[in-house]
Amino acid sequence: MSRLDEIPVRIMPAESAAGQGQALLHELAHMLDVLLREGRSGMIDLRALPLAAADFARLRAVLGEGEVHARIDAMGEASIVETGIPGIWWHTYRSHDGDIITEMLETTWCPDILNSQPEDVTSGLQRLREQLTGDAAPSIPAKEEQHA
Amino acid sequence: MRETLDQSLRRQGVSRRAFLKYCTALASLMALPPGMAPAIAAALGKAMRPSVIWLSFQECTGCTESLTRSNAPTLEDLIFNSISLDYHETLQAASGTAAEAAREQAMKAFYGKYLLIVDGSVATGLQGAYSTVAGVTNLDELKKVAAGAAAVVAVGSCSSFGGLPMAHPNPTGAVAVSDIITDKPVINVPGCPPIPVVITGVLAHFLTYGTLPETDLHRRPKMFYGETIHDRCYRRPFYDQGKFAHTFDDEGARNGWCLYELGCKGPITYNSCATLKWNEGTSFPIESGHGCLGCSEPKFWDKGSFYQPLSGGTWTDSGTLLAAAAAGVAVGAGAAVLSRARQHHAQEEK
Repeated sequence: MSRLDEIPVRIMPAESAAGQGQALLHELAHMLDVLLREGRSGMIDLRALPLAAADFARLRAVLGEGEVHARIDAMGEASIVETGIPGIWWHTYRSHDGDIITEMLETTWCPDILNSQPEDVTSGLQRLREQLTGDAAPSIPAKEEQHA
Repeated sequence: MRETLDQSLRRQGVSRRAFLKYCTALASLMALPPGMAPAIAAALGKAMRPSVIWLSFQECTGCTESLTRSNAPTLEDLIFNSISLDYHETLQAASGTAAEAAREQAMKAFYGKYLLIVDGSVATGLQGAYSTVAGVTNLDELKKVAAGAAAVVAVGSCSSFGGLPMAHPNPTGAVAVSDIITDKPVINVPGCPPIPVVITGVLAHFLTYGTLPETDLHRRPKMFYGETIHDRCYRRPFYDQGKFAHTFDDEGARNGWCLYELGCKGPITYNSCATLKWNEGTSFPIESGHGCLGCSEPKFWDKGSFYQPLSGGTWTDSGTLLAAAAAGVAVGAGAAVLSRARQHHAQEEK
């Protein structure tokens, strides 16, 4: 037993009287409207808000899950899911240990973190060219082997 | 010459996308908009790994325990990618003269540029003789190391405010770091212990901007200590509705109602427990059914029972309490008065 969620004790969640989930849904509606009219993306940091479990449940129930499920393996796993409301993306970033380090809702056409980054493309191109150069050399002994 | 963080990460095969993910977590930590992540990545990538010297004085090592449980970023990330922790008595492999030599070397090489982190209060009684390391008093060591520091971070309530060693009658003459160091920027990160990600958040800010974050009256970073626990508490609506737990096993406690009458110090305690939480974001004391002790406030240890409601205690003057009550609705304020009346009644019965 090494993780908290493996300890067989459940804390009874308080009933949600906060209604933060509903307020966030209104904010998301406004942000989507801004995206459509002005093309401006927006983000809400869910970890920075005092949300009760019931608020999260409300958000998940209303937003649901859509057509796109992306997974990134980079210093821990990250999942980026387009919710059932197109244009609203649910980001969940985890550490190497699987703990959630950031959770956000983003209104955008496509999250930027899914794009290949220029720095990575540059180093990838370099590796590819090295590979091609490296591949050329072994091909010569292969022919010699055929003659032998 | 030390390499930049960008160079270091590239050498270790860390992708830019992974770094952006890391910076998004940092932005969240520093209470910045998540959209700031690319700007943070640009600034942080160019930063040289700063040298950090960590001194431990009259303390229980709880603050180091807290930091080593930090999950965002992990201490490993912090040490190997972002800072160069050149001296930390608990964590370093070296000991004795080799350890002291490493500190001297770091101080010499980065004089005026290194970051000094201190946990524990400073004994001043008997010229500091109550607490020494290698025959040197904490008092002298602090003065010597702080002289070459760019800034000082006091981690924990002991180094920030004196902490438990300073509790009445304060036998060692314990004081806070800021009582001794007056010619350097000093930032306090109080808590017993502080929330781990708050410690790393302050370090992340220093790494990103090269300066310490904006602070409040008690030198605490506003981005983490700008609001009270009460302001951000998920049980706050129950306070506003006048729904309180009166004992730890009554219906109110089982329903998760407000713990104000059980002595919760949330209304006058500035910290981020309600949002950042503890144990990898699992929960915080109030969510586990216990009121806030107010451990990030000065002299919390000498302010009476943890279970005495604020309305009847010594925690604050009536003006502050009225302001806190006014922040809620009339029902909540009325309940505070009722609580005080109940307390008087209980005292009369004794």
